Amino acid sequence: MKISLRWLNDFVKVDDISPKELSQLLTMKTAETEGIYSKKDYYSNIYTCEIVEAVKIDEKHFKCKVKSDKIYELISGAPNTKKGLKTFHIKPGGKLDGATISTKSFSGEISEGMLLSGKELGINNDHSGLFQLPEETRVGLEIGEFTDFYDDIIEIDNKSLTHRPDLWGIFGFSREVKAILGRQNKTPKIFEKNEIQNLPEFPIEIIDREKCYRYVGVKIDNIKVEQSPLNIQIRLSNTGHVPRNIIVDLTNYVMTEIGQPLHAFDGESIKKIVVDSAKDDFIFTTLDKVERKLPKGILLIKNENTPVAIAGIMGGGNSDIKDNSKSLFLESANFDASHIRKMSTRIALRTDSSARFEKSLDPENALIGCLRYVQLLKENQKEIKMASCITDKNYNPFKKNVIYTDYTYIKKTIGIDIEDEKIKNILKSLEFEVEDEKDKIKITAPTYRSTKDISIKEDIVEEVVRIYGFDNVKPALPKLQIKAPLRNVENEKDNIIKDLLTYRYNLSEVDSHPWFDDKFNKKVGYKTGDEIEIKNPITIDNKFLRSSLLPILLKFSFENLKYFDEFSLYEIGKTFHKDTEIKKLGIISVDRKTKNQEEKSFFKMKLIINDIFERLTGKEPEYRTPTEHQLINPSISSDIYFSQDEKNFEFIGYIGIIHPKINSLLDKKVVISFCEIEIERLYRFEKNILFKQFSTFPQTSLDFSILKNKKEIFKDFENKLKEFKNDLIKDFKIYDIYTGENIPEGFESVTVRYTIGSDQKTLTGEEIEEFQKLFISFIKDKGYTLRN
Amino acid sequence: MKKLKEKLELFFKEFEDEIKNLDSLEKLKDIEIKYSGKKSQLHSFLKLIGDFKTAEEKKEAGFLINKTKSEIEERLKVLKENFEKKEIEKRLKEQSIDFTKPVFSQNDGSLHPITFIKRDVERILTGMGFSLVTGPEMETEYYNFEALNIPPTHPARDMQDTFFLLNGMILRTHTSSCQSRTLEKYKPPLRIFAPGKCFRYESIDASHETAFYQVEGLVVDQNITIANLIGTMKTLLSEIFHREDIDVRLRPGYFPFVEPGFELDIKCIICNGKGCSTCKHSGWLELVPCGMVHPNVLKYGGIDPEKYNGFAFGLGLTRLAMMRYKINDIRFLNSGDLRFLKQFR
Repeated sequence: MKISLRWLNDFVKVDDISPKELSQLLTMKTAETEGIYSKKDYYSNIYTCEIVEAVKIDEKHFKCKVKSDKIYELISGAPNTKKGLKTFHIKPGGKLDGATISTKSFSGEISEGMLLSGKELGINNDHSGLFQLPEETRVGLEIGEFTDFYDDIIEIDNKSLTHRPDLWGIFGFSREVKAILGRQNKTPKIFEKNEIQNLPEFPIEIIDREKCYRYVGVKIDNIKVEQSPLNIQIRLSNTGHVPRNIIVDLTNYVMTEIGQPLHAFDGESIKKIVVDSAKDDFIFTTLDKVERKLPKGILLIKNENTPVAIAGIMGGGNSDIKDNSKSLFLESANFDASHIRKMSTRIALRTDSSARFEKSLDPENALIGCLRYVQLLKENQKEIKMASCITDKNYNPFKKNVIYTDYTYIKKTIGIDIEDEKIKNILKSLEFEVEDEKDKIKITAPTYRSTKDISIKEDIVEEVVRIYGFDNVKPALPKLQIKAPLRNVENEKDNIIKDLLTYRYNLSEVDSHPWFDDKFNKKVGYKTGDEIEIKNPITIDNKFLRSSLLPILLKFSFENLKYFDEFSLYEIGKTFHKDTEIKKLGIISVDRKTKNQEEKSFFKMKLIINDIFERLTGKEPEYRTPTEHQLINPSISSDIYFSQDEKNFEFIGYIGIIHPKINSLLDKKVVISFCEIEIERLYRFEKNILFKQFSTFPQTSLDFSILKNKKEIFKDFENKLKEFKNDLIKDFKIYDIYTGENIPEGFESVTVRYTIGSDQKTLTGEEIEEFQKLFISFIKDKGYTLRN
Repeated sequence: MKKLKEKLELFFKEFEDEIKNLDSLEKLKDIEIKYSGKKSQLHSFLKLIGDFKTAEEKKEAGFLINKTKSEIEERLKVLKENFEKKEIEKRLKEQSIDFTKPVFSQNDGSLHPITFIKRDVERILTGMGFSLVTGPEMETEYYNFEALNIPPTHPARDMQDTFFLLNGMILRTHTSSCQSRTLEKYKPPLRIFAPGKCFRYESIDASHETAFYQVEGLVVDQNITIANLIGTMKTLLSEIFHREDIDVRLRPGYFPFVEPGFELDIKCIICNGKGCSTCKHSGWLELVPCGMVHPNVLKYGGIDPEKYNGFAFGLGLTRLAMMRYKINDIRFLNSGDLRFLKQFR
């Protein structure tokens, strides 16, 4: 919303405060301002003039003498250049849209300043020729002397007006300024409708009264479709409109002034107005000459049976004002806000009109809008003839909202102690009626605040506090009970994992979008299909929500490989499945390829996983034969299962090396390992640490290196070892696995370490030897040999 | 006896002569053997004790020998200590380290900047008695809109450009979606905050992202005031920005789930209110949308608005991270780019 301060000054005095100060006040008390635009910063030295001599010097150019305060010589390229024309001249040194105009040499001829088109002046879009001033215009006048050209415009953030239908016009802001500054305001002058009450009504019928609350119309004959007076054009252009002709311009003028959208139909085209919803889908051409498909149910303005406008959104091309229109029918109506909003979204057509109607405009304004238009038209075209009375079909469902509250509540909610009278005065300055009723106050909101803005006592609190001034509210901390915050296990454990991965394993945490990148997925051959689809994705390649963290981590790896050879990334993030989301941990590790790197990378990852499980649950997970996972090498991977009770194991994730086919897409020789764990499912378990009494007697560590066939599954081997039971065993660990020199082909040497001891005494040499003997014979029984 | 005395004196004199020129620890060891060891002459003197007749004489002889022995031992001990001391001093003089030599750390793991900021805000709010709660990223329209007093046709839905999903759900547009979930679950008095990722359908540029982090705060109790909201925000923001008492200002702001609703600005932390490019020369930074919880929101959460009231606020964690670390392009945050991420260690 652009607020013209000259225009605002018609209603409330603001010419004695700086635009900056006013903007600041509005921001602090009413709505956020986005900036101030002062036209004098960009334009200067523009004078009315008359061309007193025009000599054609070539195909396109005229050498002219123009008269304003003195005679200037210049070259004009405008086709309508001719002797006697009155237009605007910018003097050398003047500013035009920020650029300084100087005396120029033009093919050897001096050109002092220039003559201006409407577009160059920023008044309209016309660049076909010089801006034409009426013949009676005095020459040598600076444009600012007789128009609002050098206006200051305060731009209001429309989002902050969402709940204020009354502020979609400059007059609305005058009411705010009145309350803020404690000044008087004037209302726009309107036509006295009784003057024409004897004229016949114009036939108007509202059939769908759920969607149309009020329809005010009038027919006016003997109109002239001509240019608007200069100052109307200037006011409109300064507030973001493009002037066209007075009939259309005045609809915009009234809308900008009081916030009521109007539509001027060609009077010949309208015989009877019928407001009703469309019974079927159909095609309609709007006045911007676009064919639009309109849905069944959309509210239409019809001329008898023919649709002539989409109610509240845009008029039709079949009935708009033409250059030769002699008569107009003016519509000033009020429609259901949610219908307008829904339909304008549905047909993807947002207009100044729909933006206002969807805010729930005050139906009272429909009548005022009509009367204001007639007033303005009459002021400019004395010869118009009213062809109907002001016809008003009013089914306004809104009443002035009444709120009962009390001064104590208002003060208590704000946290201030002020006189009741002060509160009353604030409310009165905002045009609320305030009546004291015993221990309550009855507050009646004005109609323009009753359509949705003000309805509950909390709204009253807001009105009081904003005008009273937030700066006057002294901050105070609430008196709250001492209470320990609730524990949040999920967050706690996320953090444990993050610290572990970052600070122990030197991984880097990443964050990413929740959707797949189909382009990348196609490139690596990752298949999608069951994923949840986004109705309105940001690009067509991002239409699926991710069901795995693998693709994005792989993509990040590809990108980082441009700059790094080895790195590891992780993300704790959500994946999406049917109607649930799962929190997962994904880790990807990129290692330079060396001998046996696949295996090394796999086990490096396994170490990390085991550590996570150990920290969170005190237990290790179980690794099982893998099921198929996309992009994972089926031979070097495993599924991860977990059980807290050693009985019920559940699938919780997988680990593996990225499929070798992916490596062909990369320049560097690397091994990429990956794991993905449904980490949230571990969070239910608590790690229980219980102190165990340790022996105060010395303990002995015994290492045994056992030759194990590589083909034997380690878990089986380990389970066999676990069958060895002895009371002296305090601890048992797989200590090392070694292959290479001195180890027979196909075998590996597994070193196990037993820590043995007694709680009662120091073990004797004999007891230790006895243990060794027992273990060695156990091992031999199982068919293994010791390395030494 | 006299003879013994003389012998001892002579022995001691010999010892003294020999230690006079002593210059090494090795030689000291030889002297030790010679004068105090088991094979030393001193030891052989002990045998002489037997030659004395009376017990008194024997006692005196023993005393004399022991006296010499301990004198020698004492001298040797002092000598030894001196030598050892010198030895260490000498060694220390020879030793040195070039402490400017580099060390090579493998510890280059990093946390995402959002994690740092989140933890900071968490620490402060938890310290103020707020409980951390979470909610889903894939949310129902009910919790994201309806329960926040934003009915389906409300124009405020335009303010929240939403990702709609074919399963009928949406990606939450704000962490305010946690409000009603919390109200349903916990009864007042309550103080909660909900950090999390949110999503908005908008075009991405250096300052706009489709995915970003917020933290929602909510206090519900009896007799909560606007002054309380301002006071709490001042405390929270002073901590976040490490200021003793940060200047804040409130102005009207519209959010359907609060009434009255406010925009809370802080005095620009870059220019201290003088006006700079960061604050668009206004001296203030718009930071926290907030307000008094709308009675309808309390009702949706099953709480009687006649009995309880409260305030709610939203803080942009992504924005805070960008401010703290002076990150000039929001797109880095979701880029996975290690050149960016490795800086946060």
